[in-house]
Amino acid sequence: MKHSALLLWAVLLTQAGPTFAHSGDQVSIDRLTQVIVAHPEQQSLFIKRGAIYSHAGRWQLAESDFQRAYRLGDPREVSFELGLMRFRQGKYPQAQTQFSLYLSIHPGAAEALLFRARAAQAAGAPQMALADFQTYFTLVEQPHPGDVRAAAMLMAQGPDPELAAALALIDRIMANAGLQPQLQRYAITLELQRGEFLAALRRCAQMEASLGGSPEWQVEMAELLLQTHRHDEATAMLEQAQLQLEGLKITPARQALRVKIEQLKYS
Amino acid sequence: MKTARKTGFLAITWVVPASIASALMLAGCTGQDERANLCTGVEQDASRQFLQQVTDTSAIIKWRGNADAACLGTDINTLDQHVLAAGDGSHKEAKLTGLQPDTLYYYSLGAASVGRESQQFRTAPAPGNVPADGNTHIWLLGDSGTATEEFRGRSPHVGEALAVKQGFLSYNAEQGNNEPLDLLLLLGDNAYLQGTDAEWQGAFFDIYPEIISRTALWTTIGNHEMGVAPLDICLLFQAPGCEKGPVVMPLGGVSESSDPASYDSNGDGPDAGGLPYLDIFSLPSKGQAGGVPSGTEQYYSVDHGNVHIVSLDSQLSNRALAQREAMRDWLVDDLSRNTLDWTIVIFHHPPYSKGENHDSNLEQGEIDMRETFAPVFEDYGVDVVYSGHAHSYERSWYLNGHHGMSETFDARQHAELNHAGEPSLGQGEESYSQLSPSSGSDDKAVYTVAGSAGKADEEHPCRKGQLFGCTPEQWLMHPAHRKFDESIPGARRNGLARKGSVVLDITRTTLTSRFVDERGQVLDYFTITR
Repeated sequence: MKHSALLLWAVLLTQAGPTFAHSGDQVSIDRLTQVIVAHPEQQSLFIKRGAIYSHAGRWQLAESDFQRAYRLGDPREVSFELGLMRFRQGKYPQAQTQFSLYLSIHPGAAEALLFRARAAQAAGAPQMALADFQTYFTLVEQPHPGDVRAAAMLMAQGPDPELAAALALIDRIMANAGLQPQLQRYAITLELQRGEFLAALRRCAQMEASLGGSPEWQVEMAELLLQTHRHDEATAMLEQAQLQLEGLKITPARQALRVKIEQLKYS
Repeated sequence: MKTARKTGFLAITWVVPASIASALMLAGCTGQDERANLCTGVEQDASRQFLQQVTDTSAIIKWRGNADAACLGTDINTLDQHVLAAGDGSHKEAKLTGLQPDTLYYYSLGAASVGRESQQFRTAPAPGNVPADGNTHIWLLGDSGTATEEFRGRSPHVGEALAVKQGFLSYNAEQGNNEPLDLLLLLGDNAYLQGTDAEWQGAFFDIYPEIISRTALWTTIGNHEMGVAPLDICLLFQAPGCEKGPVVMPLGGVSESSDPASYDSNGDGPDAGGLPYLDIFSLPSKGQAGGVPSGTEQYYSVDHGNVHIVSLDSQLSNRALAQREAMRDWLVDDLSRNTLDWTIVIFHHPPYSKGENHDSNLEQGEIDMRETFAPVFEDYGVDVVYSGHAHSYERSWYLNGHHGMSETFDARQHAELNHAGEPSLGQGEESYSQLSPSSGSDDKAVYTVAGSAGKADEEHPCRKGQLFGCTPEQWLMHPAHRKFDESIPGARRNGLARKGSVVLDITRTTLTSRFVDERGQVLDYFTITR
């Protein structure tokens, strides 16, 4: 049990005083069990109760409910929650199998795709993870930048890195959601990794508006210009950054940037 | 100080729909049309109406109701700019563009040509400028959503959020010249216990209607915005019934998911509509309000005159490493870009707290926020950080470099000191300086926990052997927070178990933060100068 859940429970208990503070009496285990007794043929009830046990880490009870649900309808309907349980248990290949079963009857289930991607990644199957991430990104309106970057990093790893594909993913996401420096900066790293210095420079230049032409951005530009042997332009950028810094309040980051500028100017 | 537009706030008649699902939507093109003859409609009430993304040149009026257009103008009797609303299924939005900075606008819903005093807003000053009256007046509400908190048919905190609001209004009338608010900042947990749309209605839209219809609003996600998750209480202690097996219940506020699509309002699986917070609020993922584009509405930043405001996501993005790292990198870019006079950061989980049930030594979310983000705040010139979560008030010294557990705090190393070698209080002659005298750099921040705008924790002595659900010995005794006179009611060594909210006043040269209780009394303040 993580501390946070434990403490959140504690606060709810405190709120409640002698009674128990929660708002879900209608779906508590006791109530659900009563409904199951009245409707023992309903698969969804066993899936639901099993899911609650699974979320709470009560594996055996969850397993029992899922097994019962298996016999009451299409077993594949059980597979998403069973997959989540396997994922939580760290049984990633088994989780993948379950998510695949679920997706075979619900092919557009975004959350199942995301979890199958994560399970595949954890199981050391980056290509499978990537395929699912890619599909997932087409299903959700605005994927989290962290997930997109994680997928791009997967593409760029391994003995045969797919740098172009990683860049294409980032560009596709940003075409919809707008330029995101977290993604663009990783794209610059990838461009440099494949020796495309001018492309890296172009991408950095594209961030000017988003980053407000900050001194940090000027220095990034200067570093890239130096890599392409455009020393005069780099020097101009560094001097511009220095000038900007003189008008800004002093912070530790800006102090470090001043030192970096000096080093670059005389490198 | 601003000249008050009127004394207090006007009340509006609010009509709450019988069913959220019955809210009507008229999807249409959004467009601003200056032909005066279009503003000939009749004012229509809305069950909720509020302002979003108020910048120096634009704003969004958002509401739930039948009106399908808004009219706008600078003269309350002559609203002549007609704006069609767009809808997303549950709300309507009129997007206003081409506005003038620091200018008072009136509006109507339903295209009436005459406005209401209660429906007005002031655009932000141009970036870098201070408002014409020289002061940005901000109200912060943490954990205010208790009006809808219920269990077993009881509502234990009815009226408490309203009392805190009344305390603010009293303070504003008696000590604040009734200065109109420029900004309202929510610190999370503003709709208990699950953050459903209905709870937002009861705990927020119905509690502050006269304020949010005229004040720019920015928000952050709390744990109670994220629905329920199952918890087996027998893993914690021997509760009644545990002898027969697990006692598992879906509880509000305990979700540990990083995925807003997993939002579950009642324990029967993810809701089709996803996280209500993201449906209700229209937040700037593309830098629409001046900050660096974040690519997600879960965290973002805003420029308001000479103030930069960052809202981080300590509830969802903070839980998954890849997402947390992306949020950190975005923050570095955002703060690097920022050149405004003052920087405020808001998020729900406090990095330093000894709240009754939220200890920043123990909760992973608080530890992650402290370890990952506090160093960035210090390196990039953040001035003040506000959180909620713990239902009390704690306010730190002027901190730098304390990223560990509470017992590692050393005032001589981590706090700005006065001439006597004690931590400076931030008041009077000990006001903090943005550029620290000791370092010559803007490398310190004040961290405030203000989660008592809807209830305050009370002491529950522990029975022998009881570990949970009672008051820990270290309650409100985090050494990084300022000390209080313990003879004050509700005071402990380093905090106040008192209901209240925070009022922030920011000029070109000073930032003053006050904790105001439900009677309108200021129980703590500090000032930073520049």
